[in-house]
Formats: sequence, C-alpha cells, structure tokens
Amino acid sequence: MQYFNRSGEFNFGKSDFIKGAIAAKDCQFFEHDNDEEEEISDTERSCYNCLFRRWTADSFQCVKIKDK
Amino acid sequence: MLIMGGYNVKVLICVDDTDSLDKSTSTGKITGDIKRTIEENNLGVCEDITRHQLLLHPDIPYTSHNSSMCFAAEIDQKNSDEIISRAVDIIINGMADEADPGLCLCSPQLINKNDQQKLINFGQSAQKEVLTKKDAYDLAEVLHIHLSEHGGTGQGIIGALAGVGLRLSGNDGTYKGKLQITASRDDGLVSVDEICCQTHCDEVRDFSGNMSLPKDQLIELGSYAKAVLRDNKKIVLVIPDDNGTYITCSKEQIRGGR
Repeated sequence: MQYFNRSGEFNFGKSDFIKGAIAAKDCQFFEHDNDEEEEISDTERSCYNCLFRRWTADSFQCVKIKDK
Repeated sequence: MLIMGGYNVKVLICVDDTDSLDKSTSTGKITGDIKRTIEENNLGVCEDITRHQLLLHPDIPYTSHNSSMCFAAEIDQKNSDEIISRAVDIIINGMADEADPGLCLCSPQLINKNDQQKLINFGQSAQKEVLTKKDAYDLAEVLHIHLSEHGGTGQGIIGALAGVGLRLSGNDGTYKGKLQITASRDDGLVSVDEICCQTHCDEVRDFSGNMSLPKDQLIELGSYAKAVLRDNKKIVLVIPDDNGTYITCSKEQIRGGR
C-alpha cells in the first residue's frame, strides 16, 4: 500500500491511527518525537508520533521521504 | 480577579517558534524554563502552561506543528521588565539556531474589554488565516503589549501574540504534561473529587456532551489523562465506557484530527 505521496505527504490524513502505526512498523527512519506534547497516537511506534513528521493542512509530511 | 499577596497584576506570557525539526529543544521546554525562573526568583506565582494550535498552511513557515505555549503569572508590575529580560535570555540561550522566536507579555486587566476582545480575535484568526508580522506588531502597539522577536525572521511574534489571545479566551488549548492520577480504591476507579484534588483541575467533563460530572462519579483511569482549557477552567476529559461508567480520554481522542 502506498502510504505517502510523491511529496512525502501521508495519504490518510490526520487521524487514521491504524495506518499510521502500520506505516511506522518497519520504517527505517522512525524516531520517537522527544517532545511529549507533540505525540498524538496511543500506539508508541506510529508516524503520528515520529520526530520526522511535519503537520500540513490536511495531513503530515514525512521529511525523510520528502528529502530522499 | 484574586491576586496573591505581594503581587499586583496578572500577566500572560507566551513564546513561539524556538525549536527546529530535530527537536534539540522545544518551545514547551523553554516556556517551562521561563516559568521556573519566575518562581525560583520570587518574581511571581505561575499557573500551568497551555499549548495552542495555530493554522497549518503552506504560506506559514512553521517548523513542524505551529503551536505556541502560554502561561499566566501573578507578578509585581514593577518587575515586568526584569521578567522580560530573563525570558529573553532563556530564549536566546535555549533556542535552536534556525528558530524565529517571539515573546509576548500582556496584562489583560490593564486593557479594556473591547481591546481584550481584539486580542482574542487575533488569536482565533491565527487559527484560520495567514497573518503577518505587521498585523501582530500593529495590534501590540495599539494595546501597549510587549511583543519582541529574538532572531531569525522573528515570525514567532505572530504565534506569541496569538497564544496570549487564545489563553485569554479561556476556551482553547491543552495543558502541558500528562496528568498523574493514582487510584486508591481496590477496583482502580477514582472519583471526580479525587481527580480534581490530585491534579488541581476544576472539573471532569464528558467529552461528548461537554457535561460536568458530579463529584462522586467514579472514573476509570485509561492509559492517558490530559487537561484542557475550557470556560476558563482546567478540565479533565472523559468518555462513557462499556461498563456504564467513564474512562479518561486517550491521546487520540484528545489530540487526533488537530
């Protein structure tokens, strides 16, 4: 499944927590956000809790994928 | 408004845009350092910090989440310059190299209701539209509010002023930190009264109906509990669970869909 578009934006918006966890499961870039205030998923390893996500109007962008 | 002995004015202090994407520091940490400095140097009595989400838009050069952090403090008005000076030092020493920080300090009680509403409107606008530094400086000048930039583009002044407005509204934001609640009953449930005593929150509310729960209502502790600012109160949100009681809201319920 394609989780991110070409610009690195997550295809499933701001609150698909199941897909956020699946996408992060085997991600080589995942790093837990060190600011607890910015965690939003109850699943620890989730793109929604990742240090490398940048929020956008409709979703978030993975800066690691964007920069690849 | 009740002011503690020795202090004669209540101020709102807000910081924005001090971090970088690697989160070597955070605006929450820097704001916490400012709060601690005020308290440790007997410059004031501080309330808890709130986080205010601002607009996410391609034309806004935020780092990763575009939020500002604000707290209220009761101070002696003659110390406001010293507080600003200490806050600026903390920002400059703690900020990321590529940050664009802004600092706002405002005493709402020194401005009239009409001007307070302008400040609230500014904060709410910053959640819906792209504002400029000029917008922020113009309003701060009219209202005689301290607003200063400390490096980079200084874009953080917009969020700093907006955060003060949103905190002043009494109806925006989440309190910094996870609430620590301990259950003393064998069944693990905690009464609303006990939650309020342990967390210094004002109320426990049903998230779905926005209804305040009675003091003797029992609550199940979920894996997470966080307070929000609503109706000028610090409130714990809970939702009905399958057992006919309530459970504290999860991160996803509180923060999801930001």
